[in-house]
Amino acid sequence: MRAVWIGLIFAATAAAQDEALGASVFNKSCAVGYCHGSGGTAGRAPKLTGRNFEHGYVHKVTLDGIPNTGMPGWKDRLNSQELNAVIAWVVKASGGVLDPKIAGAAAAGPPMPADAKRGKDLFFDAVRGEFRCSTCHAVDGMGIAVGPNLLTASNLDPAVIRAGKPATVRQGRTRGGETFAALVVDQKPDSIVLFDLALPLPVLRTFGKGEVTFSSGPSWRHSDAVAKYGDPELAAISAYLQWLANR
Amino acid sequence: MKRVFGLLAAALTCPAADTGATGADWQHYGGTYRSWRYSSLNQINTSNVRKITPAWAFQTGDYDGGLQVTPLVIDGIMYLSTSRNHIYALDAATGRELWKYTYNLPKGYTVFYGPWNRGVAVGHGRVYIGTLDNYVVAVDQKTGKEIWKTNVEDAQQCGCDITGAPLVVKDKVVVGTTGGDSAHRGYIVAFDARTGRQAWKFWTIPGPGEKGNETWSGDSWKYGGGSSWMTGSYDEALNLIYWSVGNPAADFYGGSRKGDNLYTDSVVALEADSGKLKWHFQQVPHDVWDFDTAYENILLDLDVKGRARKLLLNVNKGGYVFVNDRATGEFVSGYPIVKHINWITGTDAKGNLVGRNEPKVGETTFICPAIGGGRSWNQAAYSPRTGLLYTTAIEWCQDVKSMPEDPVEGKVFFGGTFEPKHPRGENAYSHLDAVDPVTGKNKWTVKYKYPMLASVLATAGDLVLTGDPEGFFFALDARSGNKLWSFQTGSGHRGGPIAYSVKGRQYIATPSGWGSAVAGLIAQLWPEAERFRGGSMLWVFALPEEGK
Repeated sequence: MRAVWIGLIFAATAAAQDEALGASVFNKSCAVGYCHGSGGTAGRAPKLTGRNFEHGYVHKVTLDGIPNTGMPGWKDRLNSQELNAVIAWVVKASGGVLDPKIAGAAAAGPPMPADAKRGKDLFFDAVRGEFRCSTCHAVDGMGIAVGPNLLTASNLDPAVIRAGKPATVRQGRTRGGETFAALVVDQKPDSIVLFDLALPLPVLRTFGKGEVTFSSGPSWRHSDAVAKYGDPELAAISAYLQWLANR
Repeated sequence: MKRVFGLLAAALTCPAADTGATGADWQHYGGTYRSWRYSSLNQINTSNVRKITPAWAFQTGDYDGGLQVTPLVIDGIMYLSTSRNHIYALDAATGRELWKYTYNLPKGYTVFYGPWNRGVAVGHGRVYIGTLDNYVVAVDQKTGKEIWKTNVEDAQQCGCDITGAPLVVKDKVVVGTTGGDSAHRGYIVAFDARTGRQAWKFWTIPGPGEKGNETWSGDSWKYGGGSSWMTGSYDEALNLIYWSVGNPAADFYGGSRKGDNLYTDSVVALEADSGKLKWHFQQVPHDVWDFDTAYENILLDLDVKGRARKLLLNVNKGGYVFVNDRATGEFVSGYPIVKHINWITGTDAKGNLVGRNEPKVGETTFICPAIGGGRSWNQAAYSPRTGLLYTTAIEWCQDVKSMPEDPVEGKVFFGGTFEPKHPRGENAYSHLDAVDPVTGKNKWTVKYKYPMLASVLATAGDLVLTGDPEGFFFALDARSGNKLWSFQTGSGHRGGPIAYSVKGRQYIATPSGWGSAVAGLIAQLWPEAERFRGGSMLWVFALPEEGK
């Protein structure tokens, strides 16, 4: 009997903790700014109170978001405990009923090892401004896909990364005589679309037929683009890319 | 009658050099570089505005987020952008579509806060727009074909995008981004108008070793916000660009960013060619209310106490106006535009805040005005004929809970929550005021039940025009505030009305299309606002043509 009481008290405490966690996550991630408003009573995003949501619906939308709207997916932003707590909190706030088959089923993505985490920070390092990998490479839904897909690269040793000099970068010359490093993206009968790599921020430019000509031997070098990274930093970035590729 | 029209047209298409008045065209977001939103056209005026009727209308079909734009008109062609970054070129006399540029967001793209766009810039034969995925795009002014496209920074990483109109200054196009409520470090960026290459970048938060970085404790400078989300102004004689820098992040919790947090909540004066800082004036050191310095910078040349001054007027989101000398940054005057203001009691002679009432961590603090602002970003107008500033203002408050929070790059970083509340003793409401721009002395006030969230237009016909959330577009007498005319456009107003002329005929255009962050918020105080109709349509009015 005593054990049952302790068990009940424990369960009640755990439920209260989950509810507090759900409320806290909701306040920081969902109520904020111009989104669902305090307690889910509406902001720019829809009102959640009084909607009687099904648990399965809230589960799916919380994890995956709603494409083409302002609702992001949260499965890579919150841990599993936070996800389950906030889903339950929203179901209850909407007036819905928790479904025991779904409760606790939300799982966050796998955690990242420390070296890969450091590599990720470096890959996207905002402090380096334009001189970071993500200026020209996209991985895991972030960055700009100017350069090649790095998740299929066979060798990511720092020296190899540094020496990389894609044959596809050529010297562009405009009709006016201006020259710049160019990566051609698309050639149509009447136009050419290319990335202008003259400065660290790539520019996607469209030229009419004959407005730009090409020759080999551009001045552009990958070693310049990655000059702000040391070898240990490039090694950490390799670890991150390998972790992503094997995930 | 025809002769009179001709004379008027001739007189009104030549505004004096270096004034803030527009003529036949509406060239920049704020009308001219001085951001007066004042037209020198007077064919439509207090005596005949009752006779104006729709000349044409245009449905954009892109209604999610409403129509927040201020259209531009240059040489009889209107350039109109929509919430999802499409651009239309229209014959400004007839509404005929000349071209459309369709912007393709990545499939399934998650838009921050919501889709909206406030306008384009035109120059060097191109039309420029900032996008929801943080690109700056230049298209051919004649054909709408894309010429260049540059990503400012990956939007998913910075938690920022571009909703404000760019500003073309000399050979550059200058843009600001959102992101003040994200863990992000802000900037103002200029691109070569011809090639799209980045020309300069001004970090709104100084980095290590730079002056001002010491106003941020620890690493807080890395994620300190400082967005630049509205369009700046430009003084050609001083060659200075004036831009507003928004709030620090986290919005409501300042414990992890001790210090003044430069250059958040500041007006910065940047040298146009280099982006180098000439002066700054910080309105709100160490902001814990989300009271951005974000809005328009109105450039006025006025006598103050018998001395000719070059002034800059800026309405802070906290409902307080700051007037500075725009050559030096020196504070000249300040005054509130709202009655319900309790976050400060005022400013001293140098513009320092007095009587700060900060949200207490872990407690609920009643703060006025609400986060949507003592005024929202919709802009004021200034008429040199009346010498008055015409601005909307909102009387509302909120309960703020400040909470410690750790930053995650690019993710929302608010440091607390807020809940809009009615002011003590009365229901929330808004008003449109005519005030002396330097002293704030009130000339007239028009009250309205809901927040007015559209920009104001003033004209040499002594008209003041704006629209309300219920869909009415209306004209007031600039001298008395008396309502002279109104028209139901079908949806609420959140954009910027303009005046222009084509072949001697004056037009007044207004976007109609309810939407926006603040528009979403107001249902918390006025539940019926949930039913305000959305839309995305441009209405154009003119006097009936003789003999037709």
